This record gives sequence, structure tokens and C-alpha cells, in this order.
Amino acid sequence: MFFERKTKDKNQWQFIIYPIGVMGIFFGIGSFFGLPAAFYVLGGVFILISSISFITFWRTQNVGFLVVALFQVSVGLLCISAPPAFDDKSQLGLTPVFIVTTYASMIAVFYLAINRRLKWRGQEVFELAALPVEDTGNNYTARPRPAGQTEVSRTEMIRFVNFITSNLIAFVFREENRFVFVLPLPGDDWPYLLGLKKNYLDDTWVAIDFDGNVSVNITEEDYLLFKQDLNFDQVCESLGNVFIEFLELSKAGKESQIIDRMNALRLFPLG
Amino acid sequence: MRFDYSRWDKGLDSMDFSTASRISSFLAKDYAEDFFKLLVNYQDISASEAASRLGLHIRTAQDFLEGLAELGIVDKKEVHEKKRPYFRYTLDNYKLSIDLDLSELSPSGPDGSLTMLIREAVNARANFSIARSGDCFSAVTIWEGEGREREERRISLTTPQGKFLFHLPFPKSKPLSIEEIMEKAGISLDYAAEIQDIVDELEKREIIEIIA
Repeated sequence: MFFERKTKDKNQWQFIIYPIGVMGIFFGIGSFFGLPAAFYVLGGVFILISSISFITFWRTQNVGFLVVALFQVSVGLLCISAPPAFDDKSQLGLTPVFIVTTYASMIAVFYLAINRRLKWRGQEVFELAALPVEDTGNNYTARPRPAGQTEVSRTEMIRFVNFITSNLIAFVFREENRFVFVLPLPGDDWPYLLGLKKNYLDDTWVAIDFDGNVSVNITEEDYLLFKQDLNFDQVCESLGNVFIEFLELSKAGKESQIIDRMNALRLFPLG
Repeated sequence: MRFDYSRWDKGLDSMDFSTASRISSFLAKDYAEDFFKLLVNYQDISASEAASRLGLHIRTAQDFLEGLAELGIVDKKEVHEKKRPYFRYTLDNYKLSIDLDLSELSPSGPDGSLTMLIREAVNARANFSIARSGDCFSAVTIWEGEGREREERRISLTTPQGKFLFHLPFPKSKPLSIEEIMEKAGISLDYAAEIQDIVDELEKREIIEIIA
């Protein structure tokens, strides 16, 4: 499927900054305190970072992040277990086991990343919303808008919420009479995951209440993600329609089609 | 502005709110009852005579009588008695009643137009706070002025007003009539007056634009 991209990539190479940072720490410590110390610190950093992946898994039930966490723990343990063997090969201990688990989990993480299983899909949802909008006009306004209606039972809604969360499409807030789907772009997810951000009002969201009413709010920052000043009214309506369509597919048990639609956009899989 | 009290008393005219308010303020004065006793019992009276009789300052008595004259409650007549001219006041009507039609306070009257096309103004300097229920706004905060003079004004909304504004068309999008928006928002026409009130207020503050 060929189509004209309507959104800009945000921090596409952000994912590369973290490995560079870790390498910097490693070589910095290595040059001052020696290689064993650098390995110990690197191991500690990996084990520490794995807590974020564990939290992400716990909050989203996305199994991919469990694999990422295992990879990070494995690398951490490898870094901690290896230094004693630098001078005395007999002190290898469990290092060979950690080498195997590290390689195995690294391949798994690579596979998951390439297949977009570890990426928040906010931008893909924006792209889908922008797809049918052709009109332009600078008419942004910072207020939510009703964006249609659908029929949904509580059971269907819960199933949909679980699907959306575990596939990293949106971060879901449950309220008294509705579910609010916050659309984080890659890199903007961690304040929610770590529980540092509990108020979604200054983010882009789609809400569906138990009567099936759909409301949409798009922030100015996210609106500027579009390459053109697309008609804001139509973008909001289209975003609502995207979620209504997703919900209908979920009700019909065709969740895989939702993922297929987003994958078909062929956006950059990492980041 | 002189209110023709006699026309109103004969049912020919209706009293507006500011006239009723002025009459009430005169009636609320401590000395009003004694003053009206004088006006009822005397054929006519001057400000100095009333002041001396009631123990008031002449200026107070004069202001009171002038006010009643402006409202048409008393008649004022200029007299010359070998000295410089002055006014004598005569009660015009023995019955004084305040009858207000509060429906006239409705922004466009009880049958106000719901057909005008509206939408949010471009670059409206307002923030809409969403209600807990999520299907309407609870308040609108408006910023007025620039720099140090900038002021914030928060207007709390009734539920129908909040629902109405939630469905207000975005800037530059297709405008809708008040009636259409009310229908979309599921608001009964019984609330038309309060909706028109908030529309007028927000139009005055350039948050809503009316499309001719």
C-alpha cells in the first residue's frame, strides 16, 4: 500500500542515545578505574534499567517487555560474573550460561523490535487519523470534541482495553463512566508507566463512555506532528472514527487486522 | 431618562428593571415613609419645608424629591414668591406598585432567536475545563488584556451550558445554529434562555463568533 506520509517523525534516533550513553559510562569508568569496575557498573546499570521493563510489562501485560527485561538482567549478570575470569579462567562460574541467555534473549528482542512489538503506536494512530483528511486550515483549538457514537458492552470494552494496552496502542485510564485512551508517542510513555503522571488532560486522548459516546482531545504539540495544518475538526473526527473502527474490529474478534493496518503504514519500527 | 409612571400605572407600559430598582432604592431609605406621609398629606411641598419638617439636610430632601420627579411619582412646579424661583412637589399617584416582567431579562426575550449560526472564534483566549463526567465542560476560563494587565476570569457553567459548549463547532469549521447544537447535545429547548445567555457572554468576550 502506497500513501503520502502526513506526520513527521519525532525523535526517530532517540533509541540510539541510550546505548551511546551507556558506552560512554563504560569507557569513562574503564579508563579511570579499570575494566572490571566498568563491567560491574555496566552490569548494575543494566539490572537497574531492567526494572523499567518489568514495570512496563506489569502495567501493559506486553510479554515483549518481559523478554527485554530478561535480556537486560542477563546482560547485567554477565557483566558482573565476567570480571573474575579475566585473570583466572577457572573462575568463569555461570558466565557461559549468561552468554547463552544474553544471545538468545538479544535475538528475541531484535525480532520483537523489528516487528514493532516494543513500540508505542501513538504515531501510527495519528497517521491513520490523518489519512482521510485532505482539507487544510489553521483552526486548532485546545478543547475536546464529541467524535461520534458506537455501541459497546462492558465486556467488549474490557476486552478492547486489554488489547489496546498490551499492544502499546494507548495508555488507558479507567474513570467512573468511561475509559480514556491516552496516545503517547515513543519516549513520552515512561511518566505514565512509572506512575509519575496521573493526569492525562494535557495529552492527546480518546474517551469512550459506557453509553458509547466518543470524545477526542488533541494537544497542540501533537497537532504540530502533522506535516500540514490539517483541518482540525476533521482530524478530531477521524481520530474518533479510527477508535470506533478499532473497537468494531475488536468486537468482531479481528484484533489482528488492527495491527495489520498499523503495520501496513510501515513507519520506522524502532524508537 | 424619565419614566412615564402614569402610563405604566394604567397598564400601557411595562416597568424596566432599572426603574424598579431606582424606585426600590427610594423606598428603602430610612425617612421614605415619613416623606411619603408628607407628600400624601400636603397639597404640595418644597424641599426646604420637607427637610425642616423631617429633620433632614435640605440637599437630602431635594435629591429625594428630584428623584421621585424623574420617576414621575411626583409633579414638580416652579414657583416665584417675591424671591428667587424654587420648586414645589405634588404627589401624582397614591398607588405605587412594582410590577416586573422578569422574562424580559432573557438575552433575546422569551422567544429569542435560536437560528443564528455560531462557532468558536479563531485564537479564542479561553480554556475549557472538562467536567468529571467527561461529556461536558464545567467551566470556561477567559484571559483578557495583555502583559501585567492580563486578567483571568472563570465562568462556571450549568450542565446544559457545559454540554452545549462541548458541542460548539471548532474555529473555521461549519457553523451551526444554537438550535442545532442544542439538538446535537441533547439539550431541551427549555434551557434556551440560559444557553443564549452564555452565548451572548462569550460572544462579547470574543470566544464565540456569530456568522451573519
